[in-house]
Amino acid sequence: MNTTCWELPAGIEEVLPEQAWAVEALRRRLLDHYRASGYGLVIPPIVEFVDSLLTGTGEDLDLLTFKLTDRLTGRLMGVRADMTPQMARIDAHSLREEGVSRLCYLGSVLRTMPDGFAGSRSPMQVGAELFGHAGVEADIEIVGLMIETLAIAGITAPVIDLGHVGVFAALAKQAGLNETAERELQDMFQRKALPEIDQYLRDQGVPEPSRRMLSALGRLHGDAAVIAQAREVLVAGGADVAAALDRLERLVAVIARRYPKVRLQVDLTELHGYAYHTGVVFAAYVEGVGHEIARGGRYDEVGKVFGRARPATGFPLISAN
Amino acid sequence: MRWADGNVEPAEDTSSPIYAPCDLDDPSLDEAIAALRAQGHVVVRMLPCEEPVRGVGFSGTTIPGLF
Repeated sequence: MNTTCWELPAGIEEVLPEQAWAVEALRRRLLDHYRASGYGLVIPPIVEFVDSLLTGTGEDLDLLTFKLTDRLTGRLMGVRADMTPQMARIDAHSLREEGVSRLCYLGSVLRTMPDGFAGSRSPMQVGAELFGHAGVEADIEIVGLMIETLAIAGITAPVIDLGHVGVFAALAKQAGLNETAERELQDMFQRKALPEIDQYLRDQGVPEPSRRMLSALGRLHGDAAVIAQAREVLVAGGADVAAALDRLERLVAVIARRYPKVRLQVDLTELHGYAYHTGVVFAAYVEGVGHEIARGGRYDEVGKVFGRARPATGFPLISAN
Repeated sequence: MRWADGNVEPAEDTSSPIYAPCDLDDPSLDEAIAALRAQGHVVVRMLPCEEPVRGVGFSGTTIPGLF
């Protein structure tokens, strides 16, 4: 007798009745809320050709994606590791709506590697995307919907990190950094490696005041007062930096008023997904969990690879079963 | 239900969405939207680029008094 035939692969779970009903009840509450907020539900396929699954925001997902060959066509397919790229494809090709599109989704994803220590490889993913509006109103709506999602899931006082990739992008451009240097510096900011950043800027010969501003950027995180500090420290950053700070300030003000229990943190070096994010970015944290429980942001070029670039912002939330 | 300003609650039928204005600085509007959603209404907070929809179907398509 094969004594291992009932084992499941590491990170692949089944959900038994009591928990399954709890998951289902939460799923219903979330979808009801999205519907009440004007979001249309879409159910993307579990597998797609990797050509579409790994483009745009999906470029980082290559190693996480299980792949198989389609016996009908011989083409390479992938099991979705993240549903966000599918949403961009659906908006660009399947729907092609004029004006604003609000979409939500909920389903399982499959990953070759767990997300973090002892994490799941088959988590549930839920999220919402808002296509077709470039203004701060859309950012506010999506951040608000993420906070409401967490509240429905029982997380009423999360910490929300808010940033804007446009600040770093404008400073890097002003400093004359090439693509490689920009990417290396972005990685250092992500790791909060402040001494390394200072040394790197010196080694690259970045002139003043760009060096001073980039060096200061790593220290600009904290409560909403950080935005005022940033205005002083980054005053030579130009119109793009000022516009990014204006948008962030508006976002923080409205979110703080609407969701007073939420603790807001401003972090101008929140650069996750820098390759495709184009504006406001955000992440949600909760006490006792060492990594973010949700993150998202604006990625206005997300539909470009599918032939339809237009403003977009959204969030996915991953939950272990 | 009546709004504080005397306007009457939209129709009880929740099958058509209600389009709310996009005033970011009006806490009473936030409360009104939350209350309507809690009752099962679909309430879309209009973005500045979206055209207000008036009178499509029945009175439940706009929040009375706010357009």
